Parts: sequence; structure tokens; C-alpha cells
Amino acid sequence: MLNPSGTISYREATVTSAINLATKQLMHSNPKLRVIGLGVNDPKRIFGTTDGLLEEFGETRVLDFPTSENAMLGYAIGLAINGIPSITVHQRFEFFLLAMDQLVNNAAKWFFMFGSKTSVPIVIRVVIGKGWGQGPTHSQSFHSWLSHIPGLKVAIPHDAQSAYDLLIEAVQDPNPVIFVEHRWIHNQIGRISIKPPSQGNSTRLGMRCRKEQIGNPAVTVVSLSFLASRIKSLYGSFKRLDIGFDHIILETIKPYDLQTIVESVRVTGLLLVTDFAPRTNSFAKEVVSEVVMSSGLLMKKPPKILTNPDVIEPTSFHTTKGLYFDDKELFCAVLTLLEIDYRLPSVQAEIHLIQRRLSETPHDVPDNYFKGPF
Amino acid sequence: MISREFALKLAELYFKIRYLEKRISAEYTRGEIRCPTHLSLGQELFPSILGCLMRQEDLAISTHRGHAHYIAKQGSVYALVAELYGRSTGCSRGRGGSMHLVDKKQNFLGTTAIVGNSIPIGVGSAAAIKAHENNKEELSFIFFGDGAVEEGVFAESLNIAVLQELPAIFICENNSYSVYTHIKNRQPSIRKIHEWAKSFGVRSELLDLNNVKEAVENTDSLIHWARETRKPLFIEVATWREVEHCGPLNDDHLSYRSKTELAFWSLKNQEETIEDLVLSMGISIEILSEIKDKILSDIEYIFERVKLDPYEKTSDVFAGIYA
Repeated sequence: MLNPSGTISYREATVTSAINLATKQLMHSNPKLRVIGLGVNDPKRIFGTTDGLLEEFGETRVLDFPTSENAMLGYAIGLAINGIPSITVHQRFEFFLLAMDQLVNNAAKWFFMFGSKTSVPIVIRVVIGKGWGQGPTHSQSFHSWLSHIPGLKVAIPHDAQSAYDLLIEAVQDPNPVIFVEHRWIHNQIGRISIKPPSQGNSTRLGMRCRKEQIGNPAVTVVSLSFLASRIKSLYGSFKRLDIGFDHIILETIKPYDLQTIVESVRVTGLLLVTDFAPRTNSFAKEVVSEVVMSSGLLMKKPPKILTNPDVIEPTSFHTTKGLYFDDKELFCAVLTLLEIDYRLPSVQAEIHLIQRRLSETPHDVPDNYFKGPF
Repeated sequence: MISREFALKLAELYFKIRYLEKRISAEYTRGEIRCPTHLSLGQELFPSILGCLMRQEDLAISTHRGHAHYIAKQGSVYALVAELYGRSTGCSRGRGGSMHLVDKKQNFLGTTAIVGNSIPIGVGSAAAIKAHENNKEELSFIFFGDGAVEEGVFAESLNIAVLQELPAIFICENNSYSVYTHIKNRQPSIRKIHEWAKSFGVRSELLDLNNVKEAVENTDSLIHWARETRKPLFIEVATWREVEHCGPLNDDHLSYRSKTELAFWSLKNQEETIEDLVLSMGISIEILSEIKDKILSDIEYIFERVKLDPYEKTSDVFAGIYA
């Protein structure tokens, strides 16, 4: 699996296997690195992301842990400030809420408040649930909150390559990094380029995004995490209607690449930001407010955002239908910005196509392979 | 048996902590030390005993009331005082203040201000000691108060230390108060902290500090046990803060502490206890006076000198957030 020559190789990978591969490579390149979390050694192996680690690295380095999220992060900080970095894992973001004291008051502050002498190399993997009745306390993402805290970095992969690259960069960064991992990207397959991690901790996770230009860009669309693939699924429809746009996928939101978005908006004059945070104080609004403050006068129309509503998710399959924006709403939001008439037969044909696709998969799963339970 | 050297070192640490705290208390009202400061006055004895038993390579972590532990671990007094005055020569460059003391050279990892939240870091540090195979005797000392055991993270951390058999020394200095709230309003009186700790499966002892020689011998044998067995240890001691929870003054006019308690603790003059101990070892009063004078003149110099030190520029703090 490892390429001993240190050159780049390529392989097909799901996000799950990309995370698994990056973890193994990192553990090989740094014999001190540990993976810590409730269930990292259990039969399910964190949706397969920690497969084979126990067998390869042993139970000291791959450490199953008591159900004590707050103490677990404090413990990881104790290791980190004494030279032992770690990846800690939480199967749902909500459980990680129990560790907010250690995260905000210690992990984020340690380097600063003790005079910039001791860094805290920790990566915290948090998995976000969605669909299959995840309901009030298994479906939330607090990425917008965490981007609010100086001292932290927040990475959000959207596909196998970004998951692989971000995890490696996050672990090599000496600062605490939250790695926000949406359950709906785990099974996405992509071709990834693999490179053995460099030694030492001289690298830093900087602001990262991927910009995909479709045709002659008339609108700027910003996405993150699983929403990137939802937008990509609309590329065909946009191409057939000859609608060009910039799709900017944020891979880090703290820090984040505002400049790339602004530069695109200066060309297009139109902005749609998508996010799966509840609307109030969502990260989408952060992006919109910065863009408007720097380029508002150049904009042809007020920007649009698509977010989750300010709602607590009910569990019922039927009640969640229509609760969140779907691919059709995404598509139509772009059309609205461009003032394209929905009644045009060519547009109607694409909308029907999208609706048919939506009807083929229940609204509460990313694809038909997904059978829960979580 | 306690040695002459031990008694001298104990006295030196005790008066170093006490005179420093008294000086901070005296200076505080001038308004130049502008940070929340929780003095160790009245709580010097046990940290001083441990200071004679902790080794440089041992790790230690403490709380908002951490001056005594920092000094006991040989933390730089200069860097502490400079920190209180917000100077860039402070142990945390003036960013942390009294509640965030660190001395990496002495393996004093830090003090944190949120009750209980340094405990798991001390446990993780013990795990780091265990991970380094050549660390055969090092320990991780974790200082906290009676309020911290009410935080969930205390129970989480103690469980982990016992489960993983980590060389962590939990030191609970019980001064009966969490800010102004007495322990009887916070914990059921039938449950003693050290007994509760024992139920986790850790060796747990309540140490009596009234007879200082016995206290030293008992502490020494417990620390020795921990170095040998590499197992966690829990120690509770009863103690008493002399001044207000936060700040330099006596606040007994607020009447939140009962007359009985105040009378009980005011009888315990630990300065005399330490002096008696030193004299009983055949050490002359002149030698003790020399030690005290040296401490006082060092403190005098430091308080004069740090005021000449620069402050970190506001614009420079932005570069200090990320490594």
C-alpha cells in the first residue's frame, strides 16, 4: 500500500478508505502518533475508518477509551504537550459537545496563554449524522460555532482526495484541528493521489478550497462537505442549459479562502452560498457578509444562501420530507439569481430530470446503499 | 526520619511561598497587578512538603490557586512576578496572568482557571510518562481543590488513571470552600472525598498535617510507593486559605466562614511550626534568619526589577495564537 519510493501513486478510494489509508501512513511516519476514541477498536471500527489499525499498531497506539469525552480531550492535550500527538474520534458531533471545556478553554488556548511555547498537536474527528431518523441529537453540525474560536482550525472534507489530504495536513500541523466528517460523504468513491507524509511538523494546514469552473462563469456557488457532491450532480443540467459558474468548495472554514470567493464574485457579480448549518449565524452568512463588505457594490443582485432552517430535526421519515433544501431547490436558486425563466421547455426538462432522480432515492439517505442504522 | 537538609529545604520553600504571597498581597492594592489573583496564603505547607519530594523530571499541573505549586516545583519567581505585572518577561509573556503559570524547564506544565479542567491533562501527562519507556520513576502531580471533585471531569479522569494504571498523583487540597460556598452545601457530609476516591480503585489517603514530621514521613512513603508501583495515588489534605477567594485582602467581615472555623484555623500558626521543626533539628535561629533574609531580599529585587521590563505589543499577540 505504501509507496516506498516516496513518489505519488493513484488508487480508487472511498472517503472511509482514504481516511483509513492516511491514518496508517501517518502512524507509520510518526511512531508516536495515537488514535484514541470510544470504538476505535470495536467490531465496526468507526464506519471502517479505523480498520486494521489495532492489528498493525497495537492497543497502546490505537486506544479504545472510556465514555468520557471531556476527559478524553484533556488526556489527549496532556499527551500532546508532552510530545505525543493524537487523532481523537467521535462517532457523532453531539457527543463531542461534552468536551467543549477542554476544546475551548484548553486546546484552543494552550499555545497562546502560556506564551507561545507549547503547541497542542491534536486532530479531532467528528462525524455528522443525517437521515435515517438521526433526529434531534444525532444530526447536528456545529462547524459554524467552532469556526468562531481563535486557536482552532476547522477542516471539512468533501470527497476522498480532500479527506486524505486534509487529514495528513491536519495531523502534521502542530495546532488543534477539528476534522468535520459528514456521514454522507463516507461512501463516496474517487480516484486519489497518494503521497507519503513528510516527516516532522513543519507543515501547516492553511486555508484550502477547490474551485471548479463550469463553462463561462456567470454565478459563484460556494459549498462544503456533502453539499459539494449535490451540486456536482447538477453539472450535467447546467451544461445542457449552457449555464456557466464557479463552484468553490471550501475544505477549511477556519481559516478560509475568502479571496478566491471574492475574486470569483468580482467576475460573476452573483453569489449563492450553501451550508447545512441552521440559518442564524450559519457559516454561509459569514461568507456572504465578508463578500458583501468587500465587493457589495460590484454585485448585480443581493446574494442568496441555502441553509438548514432554524429547526430541531424530527426523527420521523415522513416529517423530515421537505424539511431541508434538495437538489431541485439548489438548481432553482441558481436559475433565480440568473433570472432564467422556469417555464422554458429546456429548463422544465432539466427540473423533471432532477425530480425523477430525487424520487428514485428516499430523501433521508445519500444513496440507496445506505441502510442505517447510523 | 526527616533529615537536616530536608528541614532546611522545607523551611526555605515554605517561606519563599509565604513571603512572596505576602508581598503580592501588599502590592496588589496599588493597582499595578491587574489580574484575578488567588493567593496561596495559609495553604503553603503541603506544597512545600511535596516540593521537597518532587523531582525536576516529574510533571506537575495546577489550578487558579497555583502560586504555591509553581514555587514548590522550582518555578521562576521572577517570571511569576513579571507575569502578574503583565510584562513580556512573564512566564506566559503577560498573556496568562496569575492563573496561567508555566515553567517548562521545571516541568511545571501549567495552571488553568476553569475548575477541574487541568485534571485530565495531568492524567494524559501521566500517560505520556508511561509511554516513554526509560521513565522508570517519574510521576505526574495533579493539584486541585475540593470544588474540582464536583466536576464530572474529575470522576472521568480518576477512572482513566485507575483503568490505565497511570503514574498520576491526585492531590486534593480541601480548604472547605468553593469561592464562598461551604462544602456542606456542595457535598454530602457522610461522604469524604478521599473515601469516594478510594471507591474508584485508587490508593487514597487523608493526610494529617498537624504533626509536620509525621506528615513529611507519611507523604514521603506514599510518593515512594507511587514511584515503585507506577500506580495512581490520591491524597487529600485539609487546609485553609487566609485571605479572600480572589484578591489580596481578608474578607472575614463577610461572615461566610463560621467563628468556630476561624478560631480553629487561627490556632494553627504554621510559621511557628516550621521554625520549631528547623530548631528541633539543631539548626540555629541565625541560619533560619539568613534564609528568610535572602528570600526577602530576592523578592525585593524582583519587584523592583520587573517594573523595568517591557510589555508585549498588542499587535504582537495576533502572531501568538497558532504554532
